[in-house]
Amino acid sequence: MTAARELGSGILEWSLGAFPERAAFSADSAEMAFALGDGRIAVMGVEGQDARFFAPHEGGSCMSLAAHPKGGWLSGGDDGRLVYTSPEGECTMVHEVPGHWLEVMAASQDGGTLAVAAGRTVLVFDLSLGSMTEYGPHQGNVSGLAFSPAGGILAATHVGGVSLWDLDEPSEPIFLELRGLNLAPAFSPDGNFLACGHQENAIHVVDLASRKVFQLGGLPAKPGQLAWSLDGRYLMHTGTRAVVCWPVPDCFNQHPEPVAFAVQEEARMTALAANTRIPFAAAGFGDGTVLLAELKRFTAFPLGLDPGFPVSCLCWSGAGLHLACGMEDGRAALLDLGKMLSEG
Amino acid sequence: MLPIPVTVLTGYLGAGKTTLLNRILTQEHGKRYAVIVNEFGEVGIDNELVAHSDEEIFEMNNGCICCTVRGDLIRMVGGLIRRKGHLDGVIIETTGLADPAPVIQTFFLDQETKERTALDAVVAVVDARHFQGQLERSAEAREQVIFADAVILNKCDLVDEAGLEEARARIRELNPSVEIIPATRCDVPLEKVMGRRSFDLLRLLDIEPELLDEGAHEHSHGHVQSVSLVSDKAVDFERFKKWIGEFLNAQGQNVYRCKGILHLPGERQRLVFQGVHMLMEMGFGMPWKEGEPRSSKAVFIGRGLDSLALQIAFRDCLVTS
Ligand SMILES: [Zn+2]
Ligand SMILES: [Zn+2]
Repeated sequence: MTAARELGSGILEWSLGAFPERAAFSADSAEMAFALGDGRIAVMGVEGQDARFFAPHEGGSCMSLAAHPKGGWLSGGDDGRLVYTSPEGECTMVHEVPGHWLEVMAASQDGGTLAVAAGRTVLVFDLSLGSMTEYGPHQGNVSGLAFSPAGGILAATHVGGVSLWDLDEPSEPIFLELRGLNLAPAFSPDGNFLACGHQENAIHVVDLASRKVFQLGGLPAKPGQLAWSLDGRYLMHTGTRAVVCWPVPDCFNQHPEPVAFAVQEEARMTALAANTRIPFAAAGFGDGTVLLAELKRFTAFPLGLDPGFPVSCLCWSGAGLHLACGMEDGRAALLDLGKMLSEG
Repeated sequence: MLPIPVTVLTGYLGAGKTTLLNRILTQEHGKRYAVIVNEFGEVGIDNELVAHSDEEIFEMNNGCICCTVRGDLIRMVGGLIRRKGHLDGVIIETTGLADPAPVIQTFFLDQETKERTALDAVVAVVDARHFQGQLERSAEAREQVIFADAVILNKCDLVDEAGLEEARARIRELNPSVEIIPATRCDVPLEKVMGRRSFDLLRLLDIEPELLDEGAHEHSHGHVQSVSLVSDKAVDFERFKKWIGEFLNAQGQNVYRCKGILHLPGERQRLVFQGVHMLMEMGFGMPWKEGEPRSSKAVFIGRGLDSLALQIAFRDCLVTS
C-alpha cells in the first residue's frame, strides 16, 4: 500500500512504481484505478485513501481498464486476458485470446457494454447479461474503439477506414473509407459527428448524416487522443503545443479558424480528457504539466504537480468532480475539483 | 527514459534467421530482449501462400503496406516500452516483407517511437549456397542486403572457397560498405548482432532519398491501392497466363505486389502465383481438401490500378460451363 501526499488544495499524489497506462473511475465515482505496465492495477479512493495493488496480469502488462457497472474493474493485458478484479481484489479471467494484446478498450457511457479489440476482431460484452458477441474481422488490427453517446453504435478504426457497427443489428458494418491508419475515434456529444485521428498527422471529421468528410491535415504531430467540448462545438486533440479547439460543424462550410490558447513552448500535449458535465477539459503535456482548460472563456490554469515526466493518461469521474492523472515515472495524481474551487 | 535499442533482423526464407534468433535468446548474456515476430496474416490468402514454410508473413492483402506495418509496429513498440523492468533491446524480425523501408521509417516518422527508441542495426542473414539463385528470383533478397549494415553470411560450411568468394562479391556489389560476418549455423558472437550501433541513416538516404519523405506516404491522394478478385469458378490457365503476362508487361511498374490462388479444372492442387512488378512466379501449392469449396482469388497491390478493368479481365479467364 502507498499513502497519498497532498500537493495543494484539492490535489493528492501517489507513487505507483510503474508506468500508468490508463485511468478509470469506478461506477459510483468513489474510487479511481490505474492500469500499470507491470501487470498490476492500483486502486485508490477519492478521499485520499492508500493505494491498493492487485495483479490481474501477473508477469505481463496491463494495457486497458474500465469500471464494471456493479463494482470492480475489467482490464486487458498483453497476456491476451480480459480479467475482472472484484472490489476486494479477487481476479477472475473473463475471456482469453492467446497471442493478442488486449490494448484497445471502450465502455458505453452507462458502463453496461464493454468492447475490447483482439487483433482484427472486436469482442463486445454485455455486462448485465454476461454475453459476448464478436465483430469483424476488420481490414487490419483495430486501433481504436468508441461507443456512440446513446450506446447503439460502435466505431472501430483500422487501416483503410472506420467500421460502424449497429449493435442491434450486428450483421455488416457501415464502412467509411479513409486511407491510411486511423486511430482514436470520438463521437460528438450529440452523436452527429465522428472524429478520428490519423497516423499521418491528420484528423478526419465525418458528418454521419451526409457522410461528408472534413480532413484536417498537416498537424504538428500524430493526434493520438481526441476530445469534444461539452457543447459539441469544438474538437481538441493531442500532439499540439497548446490547447487547440477546432470549430465543428463550421469546418464543413468555411476555412476553419481554431481557437488556440495556453501555449506551451517546450512540450507537446500527450494526454487529453474532456469533462462530460462541465465545459472543462484536462490536457497533459510531455513535460508533466497538466492544464485545466475552461472551454467557455478559453483560459487554462496548471495544476500544481511536480513537472518532469510526460503525462500518460487522464480521466474524469462520471460525476465530473474528480480528475485522475498518470505520469510516466509512475506517479498518479487526483484533482478534487469541488475542493479546489471552494478553497480557491 | 533512455531510448531502447532496436535491431531489425531480415533474411530470405531458409537463410537461418530463426537459428540466429534462438541463439540470441538462449545465450547466457544476462540481457532482456523482446522479440517482435509478426503475428499478422491470420486470414486472407497469405496463410495459404506460406503454408509450406514455417515463416510468417506481414498482412499485405489490404490497403497500404507501409501503414499496416507502421501502425502495428508503433503499437507493439509502444507497449513494450511500458513493460515492467528494463528491456535491453527489441529485435524485430521482418521476413516476408518486400521492403524493410516501412519498418525503418517507423523509427523516424512516428514522433513517439522516435523519441523512445534508437535504431541500432539492420542485420541480414544470407544463405551462402543459395544467395545467387535467390537474387535472381526475388527482389526481397536484394533489398534486404541493400538495407543492411551487417550481413551474416550463413551456411559457409556448405560451399567451397570459390562459392564463398562469389557470395561475398555479390553482397559487395549490392552494398559496398556492409560488414560481412561469415558463419556456420549462425554461430556469430552476440555483440556482432546486438548493440552494434551501426545503423547509418545517411547511407540509407543515399540509396533511398525518399525514405523519410512524409509526402511520399500521403494517403489522402490514394497512392497505394489494392484490388481483390474472387470467384468460385475455375480458371482457364492458358487464358490467365496470357492475360497476366500482358498485363504485367504493360502495367508492371505500377504493380507492387500481386498474388493469388487459382482453382484449375480437374487439378488436385491449387495453383499459387505471386509477383513483384513485372516478375512472376507460379507453382502448384497444397492439394484441395476433400469437400473443400474450391475458389480462385487474386490480389493486386499497386498504384493507379483500374479495378473495373481487372475485374473484367479476370472474369474473362474463368471457365464457363
Ligand atoms: Zn501507408
Ligand atoms: Zn504508403
